Amino acid sequence: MNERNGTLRFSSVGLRNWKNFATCEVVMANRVFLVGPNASGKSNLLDVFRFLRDLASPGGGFKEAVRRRGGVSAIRCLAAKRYPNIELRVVVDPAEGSPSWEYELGFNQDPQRRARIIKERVVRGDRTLLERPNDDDAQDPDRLTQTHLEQVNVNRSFRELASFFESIRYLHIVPQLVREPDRSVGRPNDPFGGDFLEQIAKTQERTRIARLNRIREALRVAVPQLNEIELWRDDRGTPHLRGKYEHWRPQGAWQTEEQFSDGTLRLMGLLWVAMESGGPLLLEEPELSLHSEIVRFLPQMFARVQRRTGRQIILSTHSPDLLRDEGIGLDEVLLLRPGREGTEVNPASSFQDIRDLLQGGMTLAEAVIPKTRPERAEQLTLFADS
Amino acid sequence: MVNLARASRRRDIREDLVPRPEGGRQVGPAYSSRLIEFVSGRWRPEIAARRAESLRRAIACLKRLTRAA
Repeated sequence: MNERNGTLRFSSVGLRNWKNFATCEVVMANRVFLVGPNASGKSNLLDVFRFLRDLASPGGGFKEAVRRRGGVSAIRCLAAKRYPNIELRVVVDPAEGSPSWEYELGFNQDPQRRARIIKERVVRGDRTLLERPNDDDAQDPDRLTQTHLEQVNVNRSFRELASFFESIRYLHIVPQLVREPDRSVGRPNDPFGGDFLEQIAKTQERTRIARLNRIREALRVAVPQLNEIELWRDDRGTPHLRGKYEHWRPQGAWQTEEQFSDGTLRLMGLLWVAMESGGPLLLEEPELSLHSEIVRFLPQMFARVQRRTGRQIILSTHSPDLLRDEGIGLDEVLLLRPGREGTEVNPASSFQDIRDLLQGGMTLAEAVIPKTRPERAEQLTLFADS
Repeated sequence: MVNLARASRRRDIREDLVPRPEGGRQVGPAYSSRLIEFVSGRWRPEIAARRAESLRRAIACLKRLTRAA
């Protein structure tokens, strides 16, 4: 329980000129479903949190975070006009009682196209802990290439916030990378699952066995033939996951992750991170390669996990099966709709017609998905004809 | 059912079954999985039928149907 009470979470995000978003201000629930057409900015909205993580992580920092995204001009919204600065502002709430944090960062580039901080602010409750640019910045403008968030010697009064940003975890498991980890060697916390097996191997044995057992229990629904799961090292010491399948042979047969289906591997990855406690979890289309009957239960699984860990979950989805769940609150669904002035983000609860359709007995999926349908999608069928 | 859960002393039951007012839904975030768990693990329909006339009739009806099939 202590773990849960200590958990921080994002309660709102404000953006200016960040990628698809010219201006946007969104309230974040503890579980967030981002829904929108392709290229509407679902991943770019998740990227705000990854950016904050990059700022605060070892090996990261402001300069590096901007570089990884291709420079200031690649981040700036194409719809940005007179006001060229990129700004983000997040409010972070502790679970109960204590005052909330607010972090604000504005930046741009100098004539040599180097990223420059225009402002940085940290507020806790009604106390401003940091306000930049300050006198030191005026004397030494080079200071404006680093945030105070990334510097241990100056972030003492708001280190809790920095550690929170660092604890953000992004996951978009690519089964091919789990099977062939060689391709992503040297990337700890690889969001694409390249070090998934390594992470399982690093986990303390008791915890690992307990978790794998729970995964097996949960997988029983999806893969009933799977009897046992364990970590196994080959002759070279490389870790593998292997599962024992019930079979026409009386002893069953062991298979390693190389033979697991894409769906089984992704589901294992999801279940594994779901059991970890920690900062906000960002998931990119968790429904991929999964059967619709499994996808239907993902929201419930996340809800129950959250009750235990208090961990915030922010995910993007295209799946009507996932949105069919009756327990998804309208304030948990954020609709992204591209327009000429950049993408607009609104909670499903702000649409009267969605509320009416639900009252009339439609599912959330039926009410929401039509709003995110790309215009003229039927044109795709003409693709090969011209 | 939601009202029953609302009165529960256990926080996990309340949080799973009771909808948050801001969400605008009829049931809580883990309502159906909780019910599935309850129905498949603990619920004893024969005993429940002693107290619920409509359930008793539904069970009798289903039994007739399976006999006929």
